[in-house]
Amino acid sequence: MPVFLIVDDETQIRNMIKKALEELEFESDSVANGEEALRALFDKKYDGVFTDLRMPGMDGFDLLNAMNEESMNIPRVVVSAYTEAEKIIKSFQKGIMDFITKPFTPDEIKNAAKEMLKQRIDIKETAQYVKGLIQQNAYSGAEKYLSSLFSAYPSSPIPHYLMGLKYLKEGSELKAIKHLKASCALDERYEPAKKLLEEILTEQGSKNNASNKKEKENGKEE
Amino acid sequence: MKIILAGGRRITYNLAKMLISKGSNVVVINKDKPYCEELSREIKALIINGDASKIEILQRAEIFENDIILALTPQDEDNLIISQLCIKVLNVKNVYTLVNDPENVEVFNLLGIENVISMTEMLSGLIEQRVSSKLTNIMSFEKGKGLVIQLTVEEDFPAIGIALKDLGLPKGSIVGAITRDEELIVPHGESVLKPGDRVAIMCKPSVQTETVKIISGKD
Amino acid sequence: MAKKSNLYIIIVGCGRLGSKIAGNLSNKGHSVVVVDKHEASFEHLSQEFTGFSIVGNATEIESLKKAKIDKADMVLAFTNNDNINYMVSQVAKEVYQTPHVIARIYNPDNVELFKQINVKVIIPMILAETFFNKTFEEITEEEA
Repeated sequence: MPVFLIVDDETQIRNMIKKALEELEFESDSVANGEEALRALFDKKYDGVFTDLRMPGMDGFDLLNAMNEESMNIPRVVVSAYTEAEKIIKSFQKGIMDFITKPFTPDEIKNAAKEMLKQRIDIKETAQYVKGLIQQNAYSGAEKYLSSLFSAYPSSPIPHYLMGLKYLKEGSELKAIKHLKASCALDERYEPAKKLLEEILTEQGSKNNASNKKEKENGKEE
Repeated sequence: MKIILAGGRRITYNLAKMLISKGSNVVVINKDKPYCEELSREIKALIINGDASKIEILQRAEIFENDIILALTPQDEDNLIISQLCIKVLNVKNVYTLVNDPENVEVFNLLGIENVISMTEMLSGLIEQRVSSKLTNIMSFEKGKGLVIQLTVEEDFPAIGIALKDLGLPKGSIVGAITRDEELIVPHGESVLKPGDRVAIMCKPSVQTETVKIISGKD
Repeated sequence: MAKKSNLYIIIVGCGRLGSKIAGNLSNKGHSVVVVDKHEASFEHLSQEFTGFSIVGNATEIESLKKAKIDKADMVLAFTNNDNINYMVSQVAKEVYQTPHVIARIYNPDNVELFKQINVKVIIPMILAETFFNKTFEEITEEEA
């Protein structure tokens, strides 16, 4: 059951977006400002966020920044009365999926919601597919998809993890470690990257111990 | 054949005088009673006091298909109604209208009114012409099928000194007039361009860039 | 037109009629945008109105674009000026192909123009006349 977060200081607007989503039988929670939104995002996993820009206290731009800092890879759409190009460009630079101007039609909201759901599925499906390609040693195919994943989800840990996987399979351990570290930096809660990195480092560690031992032995011999 | 001026004040007064002095049969329709009374004292024309956006007033003017009507009111919506009544109900072929909001030129065209003039656009075009010596689009005509563009010949233009007929201008463009030392010259095939000439070119939009390139060497 | 529960409706003119209809339609759950030249006119809207309002001159196409007329299912031309209502109606119908356009006009003389572009008209005088005739008949029948 898809659930969205609606962030706007006007009750009317929140109700209109909620009604539009209900037509698609999507659920939604509503909050009135950026702070409440951030709290809600920590509590629950949403499929997408609709946010206004002009709000008292923590405004839409602050919210987008905060979401990026926390590596919350949830698709977001701005719904705002602003029509100036600079506001729109600024929003897209913060990684939004779409910018809807007020007044909006129910259809615009519904289409945006559907697009946001597609985005979520896409990254998971593509990641699975790329993993498969890597396992089959189809590296150039994997690379193609990886580059599109990187550009579509720049703050997601997944592309870096997959890159690390690929380098590991190809035998470039150092490069693999670099990307896995990058993945963990983007999202320290992303388990697959953490685990894989640990594995490699422990293996490296035991290899070092083994060669050190050997050196010592050699040294002793001499 | 009559010319009907609907609405407007100063412009209508002056236009009416000019047209009458050239021998035209003019009818003026205006809502303002004192203005109508003043006009009837000043000019020799049929003056009808009424709202031209009402069909019965237009009918009082006895407008026929081959008459010309100009909608000159300061309100675009009134000019629209007058035009539509004339086109759709009275079958007048020659309907001209003024619009105040330049964006409405295109809107009116889309609504089936061909001859739409925006004062603001015309004036700003003239100013642009005076202020810059660069390429200016003076006007488009025949619903955008033809353009008149004007540019000033500079020292480095490749077309200088070459006979117009040898320039290789594309089909669909022609140098219509050259202004040199305040004189207007209508050129022929042997004419050549000199630096400082202001050249007016008529062309189809599709060959505008090529024409400008041949004359100026620039895109 | 397939039955849609939530139409996007633009009402031009927030006078008594415009504001009343705006309230009714938004109560029924439709998305309503009201456009008026004067901000003060929006005070006519009821407290429960849940739509958008835009200040703008309807004879300037910019105002109609701001209201997203290209996405409208219905446009209601309810200003006090018949000619403005005609202009809005014709632009909606012929430039933006709005499926349904209704205009209120005071002067029945130009009805034909509206009919030609498939715009339904509300003429208060005619409605009043029709209602009066009916009522008058009923009264005189009673008397008889």
